[in-house]
Parts: sequence; C-alpha cells; structure tokens
Amino acid sequence: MPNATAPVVSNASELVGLACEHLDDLCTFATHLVGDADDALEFVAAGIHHASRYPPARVRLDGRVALFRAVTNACKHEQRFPPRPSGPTRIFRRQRPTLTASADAVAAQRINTVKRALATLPFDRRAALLLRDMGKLNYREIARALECSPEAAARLLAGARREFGTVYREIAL
Amino acid sequence: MKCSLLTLSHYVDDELDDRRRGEMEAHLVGCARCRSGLSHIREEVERIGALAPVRVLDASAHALLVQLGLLEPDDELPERRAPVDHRATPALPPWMQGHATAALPWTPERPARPAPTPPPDPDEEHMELSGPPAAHRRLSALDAAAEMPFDLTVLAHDSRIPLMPRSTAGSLVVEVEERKPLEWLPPPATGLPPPAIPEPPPAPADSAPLTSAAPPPDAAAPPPPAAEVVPEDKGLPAPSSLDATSPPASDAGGAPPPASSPHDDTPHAAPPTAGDSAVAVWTSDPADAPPGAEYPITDDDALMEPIAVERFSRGPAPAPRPSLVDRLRDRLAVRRALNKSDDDTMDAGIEIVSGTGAPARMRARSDLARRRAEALRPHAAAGVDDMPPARRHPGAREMLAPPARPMSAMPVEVLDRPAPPAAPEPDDGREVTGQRVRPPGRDDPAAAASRSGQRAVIAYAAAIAVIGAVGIISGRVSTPIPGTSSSATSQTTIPLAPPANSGSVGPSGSASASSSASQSQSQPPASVAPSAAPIPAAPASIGTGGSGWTVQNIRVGDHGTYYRIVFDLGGAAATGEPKVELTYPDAKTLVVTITGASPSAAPPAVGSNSIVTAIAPGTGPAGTAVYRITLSKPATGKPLYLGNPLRLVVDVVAS
Repeated sequence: MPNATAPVVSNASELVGLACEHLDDLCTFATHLVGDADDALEFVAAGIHHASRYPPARVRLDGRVALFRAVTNACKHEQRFPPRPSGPTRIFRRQRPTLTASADAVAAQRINTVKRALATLPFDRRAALLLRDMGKLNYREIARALECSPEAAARLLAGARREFGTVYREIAL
Repeated sequence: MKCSLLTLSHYVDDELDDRRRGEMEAHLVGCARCRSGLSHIREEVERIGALAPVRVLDASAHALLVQLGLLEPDDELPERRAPVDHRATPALPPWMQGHATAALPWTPERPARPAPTPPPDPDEEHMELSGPPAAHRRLSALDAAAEMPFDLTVLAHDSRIPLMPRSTAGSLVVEVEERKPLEWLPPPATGLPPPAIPEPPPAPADSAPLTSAAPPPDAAAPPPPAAEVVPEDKGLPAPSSLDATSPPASDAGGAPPPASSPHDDTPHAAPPTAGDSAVAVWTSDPADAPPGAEYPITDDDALMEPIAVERFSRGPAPAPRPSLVDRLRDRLAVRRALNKSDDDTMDAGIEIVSGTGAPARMRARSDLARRRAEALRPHAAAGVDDMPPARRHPGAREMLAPPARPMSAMPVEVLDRPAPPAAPEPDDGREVTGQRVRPPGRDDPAAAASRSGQRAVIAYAAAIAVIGAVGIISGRVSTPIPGTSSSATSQTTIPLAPPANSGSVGPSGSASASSSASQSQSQPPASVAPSAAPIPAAPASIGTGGSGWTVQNIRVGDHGTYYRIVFDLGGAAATGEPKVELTYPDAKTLVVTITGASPSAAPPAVGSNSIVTAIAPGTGPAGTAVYRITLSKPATGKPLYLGNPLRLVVDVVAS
C-alpha cells in the first residue's frame, strides 16, 4: 500500500525544536553512516519527515532518539526527501537538494583511515558505533534507535568495536 | 571475572553497575590483556568521535522545515544549539567537553587569536568551519584554568574520567576525590581570606561559540573584594543560561545542572555562601542528583510505556512485494485521490515515500555501483591528494572517502610522499595520512590491465580447447543406434577398444592369432566393416606362468546364461599355473592361448544353438596350446583356475 502522508503535524513545535537542536548531529551521524554527504542529507530530511508522523507522545518521550531512529531507518531503506522522480523524467529533472551543509575543512581534507574502516562494517554495527561514540547515546537509546533490545544493542556495539579495531589496525599498519 | 570484550565495552560506556564496575577495575589491575583491550577501545572511541562534523546552515534548515510543513515560511527558526565538537578529549569531564568554561561562573579572558581567513572559494557556496579545532579548546581550557584565582577541584565522580590518564600533556588535569554528587566545600582553614570570584562582565559577541551564556571578564574591571558576598545568580550560572552552552541532558545521559534550591535542606545542595572558594560541579548522573531537582523523563520512565515494535537481531524485514494487480489498483487509487482533491496545499503536501508511487531505486542502485567502482579503483582513496592546492575548502561530499571493499586481503602500502605541511592542529595519530591502499602486485594500472587481458585470452583459449576435446571425445564414444547398423550415419563409427593385441600373445604367438589380429589391425574399420561391426571384448589373462602341463581333456557345457569350457590340465612334472590369454581377433572369435601346456586332447563337438559354435585347435609354438573358439554372437570369456586337479575354466558370456 502506498504511504501517502498528509501535512498534518500535531507536535510540530516540539519536533521543530528537536530537529533544530539535533540537526547537525543527525547530519553528521547520517553522513558517516552512509558514506555520502548528499545522500545523507536527503536521508536526514526523510527521517525528519517520518518523525513528523510519529505520535506526539513518542516524540515527547523519546526526544532525539526518535529522530535518530527515523534517520537510521531512512538510511537503511534509502528513503529520501524529497522523493526522487521516477520514470524516464528522472534523467531530465534534477531537483535541488533541500539541505546543504558545510563540513570541517581540515577534517575533510584528510585521508581518513577511520572512515574507510568504518565503511567496511555492516550497517547495523556501523550505526551502533556511531550512535554511541558520536551521538553519545546510551545502550537503551541505541536499542530504541535500532529497534532491538538493549542487550542486543550492547552485543552489537561490542562486535562493532571488535571488527572496527581489527579492520583499522589492519589497514593502518 | 573473565576477560570479556562485552564487559569491557560496558565498562568504557559506563553501563556497569557499581559492583560490576568494582570487579572490572579489580580485574584490570591484574590483567594486562584487558588493559590493552581497554586502551584499544578508548582509542577507537576517540577516533570515531573525531570524525568530521557536519554543520547545516540556518537558512537550509529553515527551508527544510518549511518544506516538511513543520514551519511556516514567515516563522523564525528556533534557536539552534551551538555546534558541539565531539573531538574533545575524553580525559575532560563531560560537562567540559567542547565547552571548556561551561561550569565556570564567568568567562575567562581568552587571548586573542588571529582568526584564519582562508580565501573563500567561489564554487562553494557554504564554507565555514564548524568551530575551532579541539586543540584550541584544550588550550583555552588550560588558559582558563591558569587564570583561576583558586584551584579547580572536581568533586563528582564520573566514570568517563579515565582511571589511568593516558597523557596529561596539553589537557586539564582533573582530580577525582570522592563520589559526592554536589557539595560545597567549606572555606579553607588557612586563615587567609578566600579568593574572590570576579563578577561576570558582559559577554562579547565574538565568544559566542564556546561561551555564549557566561560573559567574559572585563580586564579593566578590578575584582571585587574578597569579603564581598557573591550573589547566587552571579556566582553560579543559571540553569537556563547553561542550557545553551552545556550539552543537553540527554547527551550526557543525565540532567541539566541543578540550581541550588533554597528549599533543599540537604547539606549537599546548600546554596553558596560568602567565602566559598570552590566551584560547584554537578554530575551528569541523575541518580546522584540532589532531591527536589526536576529531571527530564528518564529511560526507565519511557520504558514503562508500551513499545509498539521491539525487534531483535536483524531488524525490520522488507515488506513483500505486492502483486501486479495490487500495484495497479494502488496506483489508480493514488492518481484518483490526487486528482479529486480540491485543496491544492493538501495535494502539494502529499508525498509518497514508499510503496506504489514511490520513486524507484534505480538511481540509488546506480549511485551504489558508482561508489563501489570508485572504491575499487586503486587511486580512489587518493583523491584528496590530487586536489589542486588552490582549492583549500572541499565540499561536504569530499569529506568522506568512498566506501572501500573489505580490507582483509588488502595490504597497505605507504607511499614515499613528502610529509604534509604543518597541520593546524595536532593529529594525535588518530588519522593516517599519506597512505594508499593498493592491491598486492598491482602498482601499475596499465600492467594490471595487461595482465587481466592476458588472463582473458588464456581463459578463452582454454575454453575453446575444452570444447574441442569434448567434441572429439563425444564423437569417438558415440555408439550405433540398434537396428540402424546398416545406415550410412553409423558407418564411420570407430570402435572404442582396439582389436585383439597380437603382442599379448607373445613374441612368437600363433600364426592364426597373429594373422587375424594383424588383419583386423591393418584394415581400416570403415573398409572392413562398412556396417557397424560389433565391438570385441577386451583381452583377459590369468596365471603366473608354468611348464610341463598337458591339456588332457576339454569339456563343454551350456548353462543358459553362459557357456563353460573346461580344460583339464595334468602332468607329472608340471609346475605352476600356465599363463592363459584370451584374445579376440574379431567380435565372434575367441582365441585361448595356454602358455606352458601342450595340447593333447581333441576339442569336443559343440551344438550350433549355443553361444559357442565351434572349438578348433590352433597352431602355436612348442609348449603352447592354442584353441580357436567360434562364437555365434559377440561374447566375452572369463578365465579362472580350479585346483585339485588343475582345471582351466573359461565361461563365455554373451556381451
């Protein structure tokens, strides 16, 4: 069934505040999660779009975790906002990206082994690692963002650290 | 306690309770392996935390929220949080990460630093740094600590403070004394007047990124007298003002700093009085918060709520693809709904994000394939090095390297590239520069391409050779179709087994066998048997060799499925077992050659209705008995010896 959404948002003010507060964190997280800045910005927009359809109680309780959860799902399923045109017209219609971002020039100029080691991890492990070490989420928040149990999130994170360390030491030596 | 990476990970993330934490710390004292693992995990945390942050511009964020319908075009964007530098060293307590002076009641004067003014790139529309580098903030923290009129002492215990600091150079030394969440120290009993806390002067505009809440001190203003009572609202930053600079409560896993409440009668939460010489430092743990403080809803409270979906292990599974009829019906329904709606704004806001009507993923797949191709190129990771020096500010896309393939079988070659110029901030070894990942033995892309071309040619040649061999073999082993032996298509069939080998008879084999064998060999099969000739059986032999034997009698018997011929052997001085060879000059002739036995008995007469139609003695050298057995149809002889007395049995079975 198509998921046709209506522009009726009951918790717009809360969501706007949350989104404004954590927009940079979300974009940073998504950028390192998918490895492409332009795609990440579209995924973040789609995630906020999905989060605007969450129940208000959910957004109020979860806070930024709801946003991280929505963005993670959008990145996982490659959901973009605005949706990319389908059919042959997509060749001729180039939509302007909604979000534009700037990055730290010094960090961007580096050939970062961390990024390459991170790109070798599976999606779930990469997401868990970034949510913990970059988003500073605790295990319960990570579990809610990844839609799993806290124990599973802990195991996921430990496995991600093991794999990341192995790959990093392998390619950095 | 056993060594466990999971427990170490919990320990690093401060997810252990007090008892387990104590056990872990005790275990770390005596386990070098776990200490090494702990240091590795902390280094990884630092490395990932040092990844480049992304800063979304206010105008862009406003445009997004307007497009999402969350904000009106005329509405102002809510105040956004200052960019947090996640690269702050974990040696600092969490309330000082990225905000070196967040807990201070004033803003220390920071030495003026020449702001780097790189030439703006006209191609890049938005190019601004997200904030000063981490090293500058650490130095700022040191400067702030150096300007303190008193010693800063951290009273709160926080697990993120490492027990074994890795390095104190360049970072603020924090002393952990005890686990008291909030405590005001009495004035030191030294008799000296306590150091004065300077009054917070108004904040300058240029210090907004780091200390937007607390105003910087005025260098010209003299400090207040020591005995002056510092007002509460000036001595301590208000929670509302701290919210702007300190990380949010959920970031640190705790609560915003509690203000000193006058209703709180606990000694820990006593309000500051005159003469307090220390700065109150609050913890990030809500459990250690003083009573009465209002904290946001915690995870426990949130978990009390029913959670709609709790998935484990692999996460959400993709929905099954709807059938063609369902998709057509949905598409028609969507089109009809879009066309029938009278509200334009409603139509403009409808976005199909999944299912029928959603955009195809072909673009995403092509992007993924492109990124993979870029990652597989040997020079894919060196794109930044090849960047022209004039372009000093890359875009956000260049911030990340393309996703690389698994590095398990890919060694790293360090190129002899000259060292890069002095970095604007110390690298701490967190990022490796000047390295490229190259497959082994593929230094030259042209050579690699040549090798791959050679491999392709060899593969093609091998495939052609295999196909030819298969064709030849299949032609050789093709058997005639029964009943079509006289057809022209089977005339060229080559027999699989060669005819009887004359050499097996011996260098002085019988003339008849040799002649028949040589005839059958010398004549081409197509000319001898224009029709499909039966394939004779393979020769067989038995016996190790004997001498002095005599074929005393020959007996035959038709047993239906096989025809048995028994040669009774005897001899007074006979030794061993004569060597017997069964050869087939043609498909209907069996020659039995017994080497080491002389014929004496005449072969018996056999019936014409059996497989064996005639047995005739052959000619052979002395001491060799040769019998030529004529067969009614192609058959195979199976020789065997029976002892006491010695008998040679030949069973003739139709092929």
